[in-house]
Amino acid sequence: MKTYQDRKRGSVQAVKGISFQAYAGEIYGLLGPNGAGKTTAMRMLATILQPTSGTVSLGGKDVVKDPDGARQQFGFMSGDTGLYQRLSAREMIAYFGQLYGMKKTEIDLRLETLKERLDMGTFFDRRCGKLSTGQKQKVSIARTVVHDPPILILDEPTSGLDVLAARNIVSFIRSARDEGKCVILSTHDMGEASRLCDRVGVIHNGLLATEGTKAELLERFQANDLEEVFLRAVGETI
Amino acid sequence: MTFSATSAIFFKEMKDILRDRRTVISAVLLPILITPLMLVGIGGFAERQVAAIKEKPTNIGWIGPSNGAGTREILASIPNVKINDLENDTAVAFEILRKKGFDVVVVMPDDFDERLLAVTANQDSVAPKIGVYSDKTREKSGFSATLVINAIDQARMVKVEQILKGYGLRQSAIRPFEFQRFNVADEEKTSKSGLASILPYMLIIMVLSGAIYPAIDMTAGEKERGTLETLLVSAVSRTDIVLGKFLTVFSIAMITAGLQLISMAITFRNAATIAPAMVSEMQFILTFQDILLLALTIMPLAVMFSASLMVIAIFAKSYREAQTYVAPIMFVVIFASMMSLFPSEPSQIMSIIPVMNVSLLLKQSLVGQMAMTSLVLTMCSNLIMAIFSLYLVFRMFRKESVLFRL
Repeated sequence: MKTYQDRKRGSVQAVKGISFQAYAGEIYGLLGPNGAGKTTAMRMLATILQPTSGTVSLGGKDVVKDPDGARQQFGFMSGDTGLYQRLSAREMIAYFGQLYGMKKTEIDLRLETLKERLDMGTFFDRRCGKLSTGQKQKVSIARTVVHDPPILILDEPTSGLDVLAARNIVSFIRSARDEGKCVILSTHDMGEASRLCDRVGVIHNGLLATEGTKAELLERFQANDLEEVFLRAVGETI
Repeated sequence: MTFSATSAIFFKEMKDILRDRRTVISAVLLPILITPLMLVGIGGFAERQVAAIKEKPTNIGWIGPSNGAGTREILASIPNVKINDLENDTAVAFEILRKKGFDVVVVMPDDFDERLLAVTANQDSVAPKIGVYSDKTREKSGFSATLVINAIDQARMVKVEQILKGYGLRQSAIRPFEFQRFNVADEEKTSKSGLASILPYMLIIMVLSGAIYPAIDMTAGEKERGTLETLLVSAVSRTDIVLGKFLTVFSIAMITAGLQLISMAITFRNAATIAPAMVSEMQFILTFQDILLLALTIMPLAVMFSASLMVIAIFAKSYREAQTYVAPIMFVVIFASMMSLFPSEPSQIMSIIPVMNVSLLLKQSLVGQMAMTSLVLTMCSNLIMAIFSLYLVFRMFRKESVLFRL
């Protein structure tokens, strides 16, 4: 649960009660409209915000009791994630490697692997401020996985991106799942959730309305697609 | 807190900030160039302006038949001085003066010579009065009035000597004893006393301006660009993040101060070559020890500025918003640092007021009169303020409402 004080609105409960489990080798999607509490929930998962009550365990590390330990377990990326414009792609990724406590030899090895995997050879030593949106997205992905975390927390990862840049992200998410990582992503895009997620949790007004695999949800709500699932699930909670 | 994480953040921030043109201008080029530019540019310009005003012909309007006991002849002997006789209409004369036709108007009473004669013969005790009219809004008019007054003084002395002679007295009768003024301060200290007024002011402003840009860029700037969030989710503690960023702001502030001091030392040492016209006023020697002492004195202030600016800037959502918050600080610091420009002896109260105390301490240290009480009070007060500001930065970086404006 997350409550904060707003000068105009007083006490605001952004997340009233969300409880779910996500496993290695699956993509778990938190689906909900803007203002549903997705970003607040994702920020609590990522230790940026502290829950008012309740907790989160990431790879066995409690985000409230051991936030530093929990941070080693995941990589975080959001649609608003920025890059240091005056650092090159190589410097940016290496910097975050240092922040995750990696040794220089480990960082060098990882840089080469990521450069090959994400096809960043042509712009690896160019400053981030001079890169195209797609190139920036690749650097962002590399920054997120530099320490090879078992969990990925992605808040609206494709929001505001064009088709090509979004495709980079989608293929990155799928390959991470195939490598056995646990991917938790938030989205308001029903199509994206339908295409990508193995399991979906529907959030509305800070509450988890329902959750399950796509097949389970379609059957449970007698719906043809996730949009109908969402509307019916939300209708149940209103 | 780990040393490796703090140093990783510090070196990254230094690299990042020094690659920015705005930092290079405000923290490197400005402190290096401001002193020589001021000396050559502003100083030279002022010198040229004064010379131009003095060289311009002086137009004096003269009303009255008298020559003012020889004043007129003295003025007429000065090159570039033109005396214009006027009708006895002061209103017209003053109008011409206002319209810059004359630089000064001298009004002699009609009975000046008669009354002067009476005073000389000790028959009348009321001395005749010469009117000197000038326009205070014009520099040239001011200079011209001084010229006239000096000529009147000279003529009056001649008259006094004549009167004394008439009574069989020598000039020493009105100057029965003389005095001579001596300066016990050594030449170096004397040369620094002029510098002591302006240097603290410039140095404090430079430290502040050096810290402003990195403090905003690394807090509000990071928020705006979306990089703060990624930094906060990395596996480093908030303490490491704050310390790394703070050390960067502090280092840039000290680099700015250091560069300005070195630039000042070189400029003043070569003042004779750079601005020969101003050499008598601007030839100061700043030794290596001076630079070291000034840098040590300014250090706690740089800590306080860096931390305070970070506290203020972290509240803002954007770079522009942070600039708005920081502007009033700039005015307060400018006002407090101006203390060194005025003649003042630091009291104990003054020694505990931040910025003001450093301004006065720097002034004292330059002329070699640093009082131990002032030093201790200033350092203690600034250290307390610096620690408090740092504590606030650490607190702010832990407050969700500040970091994310929830």
